[in-house]
Amino acid sequence: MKVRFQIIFSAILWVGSPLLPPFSFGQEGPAAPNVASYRIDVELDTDEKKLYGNEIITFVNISNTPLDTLCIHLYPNAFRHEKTTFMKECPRWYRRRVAKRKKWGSMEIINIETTRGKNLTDSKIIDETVMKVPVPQPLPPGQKIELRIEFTVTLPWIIARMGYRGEHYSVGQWFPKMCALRPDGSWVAHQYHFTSEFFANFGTYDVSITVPEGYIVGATGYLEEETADGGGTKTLQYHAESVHDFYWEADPDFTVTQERCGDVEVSFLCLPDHRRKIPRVMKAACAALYYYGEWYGPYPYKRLVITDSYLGAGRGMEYPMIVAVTLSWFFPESIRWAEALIIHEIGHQWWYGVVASNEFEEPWLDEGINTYCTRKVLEALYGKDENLVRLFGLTLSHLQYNKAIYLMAPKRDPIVKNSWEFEDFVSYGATVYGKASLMLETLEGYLGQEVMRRILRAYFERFSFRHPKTEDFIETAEEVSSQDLDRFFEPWLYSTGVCDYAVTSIESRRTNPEEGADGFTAQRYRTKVRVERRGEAIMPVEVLIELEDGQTIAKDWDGADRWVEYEIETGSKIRSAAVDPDNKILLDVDTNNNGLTTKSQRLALFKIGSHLLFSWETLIQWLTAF
Amino acid sequence: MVTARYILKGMRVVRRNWPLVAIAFLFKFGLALLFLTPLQSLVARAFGNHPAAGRLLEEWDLTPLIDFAYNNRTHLEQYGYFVLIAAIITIVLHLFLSGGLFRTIAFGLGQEQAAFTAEQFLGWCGRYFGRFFKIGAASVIFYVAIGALFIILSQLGERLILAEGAQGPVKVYAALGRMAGLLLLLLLVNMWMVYTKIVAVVHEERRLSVILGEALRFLRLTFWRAVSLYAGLLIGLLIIMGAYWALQKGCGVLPTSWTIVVLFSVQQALSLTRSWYRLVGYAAQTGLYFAKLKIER
Repeated sequence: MKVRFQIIFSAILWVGSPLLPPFSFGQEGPAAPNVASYRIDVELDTDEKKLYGNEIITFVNISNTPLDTLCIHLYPNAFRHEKTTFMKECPRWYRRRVAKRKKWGSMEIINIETTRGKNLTDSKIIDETVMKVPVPQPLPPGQKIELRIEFTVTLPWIIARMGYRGEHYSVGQWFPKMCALRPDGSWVAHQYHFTSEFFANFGTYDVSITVPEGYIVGATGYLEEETADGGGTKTLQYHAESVHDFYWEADPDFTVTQERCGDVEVSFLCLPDHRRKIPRVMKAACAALYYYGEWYGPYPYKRLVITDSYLGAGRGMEYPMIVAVTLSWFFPESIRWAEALIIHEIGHQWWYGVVASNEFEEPWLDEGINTYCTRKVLEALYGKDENLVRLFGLTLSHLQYNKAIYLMAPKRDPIVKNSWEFEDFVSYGATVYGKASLMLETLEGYLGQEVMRRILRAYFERFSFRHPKTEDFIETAEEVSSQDLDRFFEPWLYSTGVCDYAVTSIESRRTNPEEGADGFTAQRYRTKVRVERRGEAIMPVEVLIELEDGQTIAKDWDGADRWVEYEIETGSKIRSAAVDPDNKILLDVDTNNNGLTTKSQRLALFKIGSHLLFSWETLIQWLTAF
Repeated sequence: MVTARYILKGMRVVRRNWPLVAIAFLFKFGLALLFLTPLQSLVARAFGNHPAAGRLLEEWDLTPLIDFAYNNRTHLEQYGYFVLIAAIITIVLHLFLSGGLFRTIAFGLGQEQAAFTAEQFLGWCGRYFGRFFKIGAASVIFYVAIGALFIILSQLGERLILAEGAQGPVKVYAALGRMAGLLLLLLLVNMWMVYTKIVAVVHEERRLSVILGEALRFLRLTFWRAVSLYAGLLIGLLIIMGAYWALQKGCGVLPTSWTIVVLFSVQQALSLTRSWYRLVGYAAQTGLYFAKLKIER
């Protein structure tokens, strides 16, 4: 087992990045309320693929009612067998693949007691991934309780951010974790669903992890101490404040790269296949920290870890102070997939980590906002048009990619919905990532980029270390923009309608010539333009009419009626008309019908036809090669 | 040198029998038009009078194409079925023509002028259709078998690698090695099938299994010469494709009507060249086979 430490100092990338000035944030430490705090000792048994843990939970009743029951998540039970809620919601192919391996995971609660010695083990009620524990006497508002829990976790073959693959361990959702408590005393105690991520109250975490010597560990928090235990193991002591989860990974083959990005020490734990990617990952990480910090607010911790991981769910995952990404060895620099992934996951430190919205019930608040912000960083770094792919003359922007994602299921679900109630995983992705981020892009089109940044900055400042809801975001947006935005948000957040404006006909007809004051007659035309609203969503739009003499006429339409017809006297024939000419409405499902010209686009059609003909000839050539 | 000699010989044969090139090209061109027509009408309906088409003239802007794909998804699905049927028809028609092409080349070797008439050509197409159809079916079976074998071996290899906990570059090289191995096997089968077709027109009376065996025997005896000829032909094809790539990039710089017409001409010239080159390849390989026959006799 090789252990390599590769220390690369910030100067290398920093000097080479004129776009990125020095940092000026992260001066003051975070300050979140300690609602659910944990002291955990955990040992990784690499032979049995198990975790043996002891934890003390200190929980404060922040609600206004006494609590007679505590709710605790036991997430690993989602992987106990193929009939769990999580597994039943998986796509069939995924479930089959997991079932075929027969390497399931689970969590056993061996003992629960209060630190005052009252044993609660027998009174616990476990419903798959949620455990209810009646407390000896109701916990009054503002009071705290301490629970001591002994548990074991059987790690599955990697699935949904948890488990092992070879000697690699991805350890997320691994400890008995308090459900989030609402101010009214109700619990956010949902089962672990396939499409769902997580939600918890803030707290302080002191975690000591015992692993075999030679394993390299990346985790949430600050490493305070590392001691060799003798007998071939070592223990690492981590401390994290103002966080709401704790994730760690261990692998003997990690290569560690450290670099300072402003005040933040960034560590990248890279798997051997991907060492070539190290400079790209570090550059993207520093850029993300810089732009998010500059635009929305400072990153409140001094440390950030990026792990190159096997996740078994998507390509990346965010946890406080640590992000896990699955890189691919073959993507060249012209495909900026790794960069987009790193920027996105780091962006979650703002939208999820600090502004801790409820990922169970309103996933768009972190994923939608963060997808929009990821795009802004990519655009700042690589320009608007080719910020995702620039390969063999083919370009793809993040915006185009998002539009394609959105169009996979544009009218199946509204944005605001419990994550597990989306029709399926495709609709979840199309709505939460695609539709939500395009909605924000459209809002930017109306308000301008500067106002949009101010909205997000205000939202971040107001709700740092808090748990905002959709209404909080709307309220902030309205306040900062000084506009009533209910009409804007309503069709996207709460309904399934789509937007489609179309110019359906244009014409100019001669009218009787008009005699001017100088005695000359000028030819006049009656020009008609018909615009239709084919979708359900209503957005105010501009209609731009262009005449053959180069003159342009702009009309504003509130977009409410199903159609509108403009009839105007013009001195020249119409050349073209376009609705939403600046392409502000990114959610328009068919922008190809947004404009109409009087002349046929023969040259373009010939070019397209020529390419298609040649493509078919090539295909036939291959088809008949056998 | 030997490879170059056979390729030059093949060129001479194809030059003498130039109508074969026209047949191969028109076959491809005609079917491509058939494939194209429904798609082009969809495109014309979507972009015919829209400024979006102007953007496509400048560059391959994906935005209008993404919207086009979504708004025509039903039509595109139907088009997919159409393509599937048309592809099957294409393959069958190709098998029909192959008999005539191979027979003409085989008996055109060593002759000083064109070796066929239209009646003869069509007669040969009909005469060999049955056995070429069988060879086509056999090819499909062999390709599928290679694919299945590849999947099984890959999974076994992966289990072995993962069982040993191997990670990193080992995995990457193993993946690359697997892909290269698969490609090599497919090319070998392809080469075998070309010689099977040659044997099929030379030894008309023999059964399919005997023809396959004879082609295999030939490859065993002249393996390196056959492989070097095949590799030489492949390199030539790559050079032609590279030349096209450079030319079409140059044509795409200024989207005027002239450059678009030039681009169209370049594309069709390349298509014609590829038809010619394939026939040259067949003729060169037939030449190699005849050379071996001559020694044996």
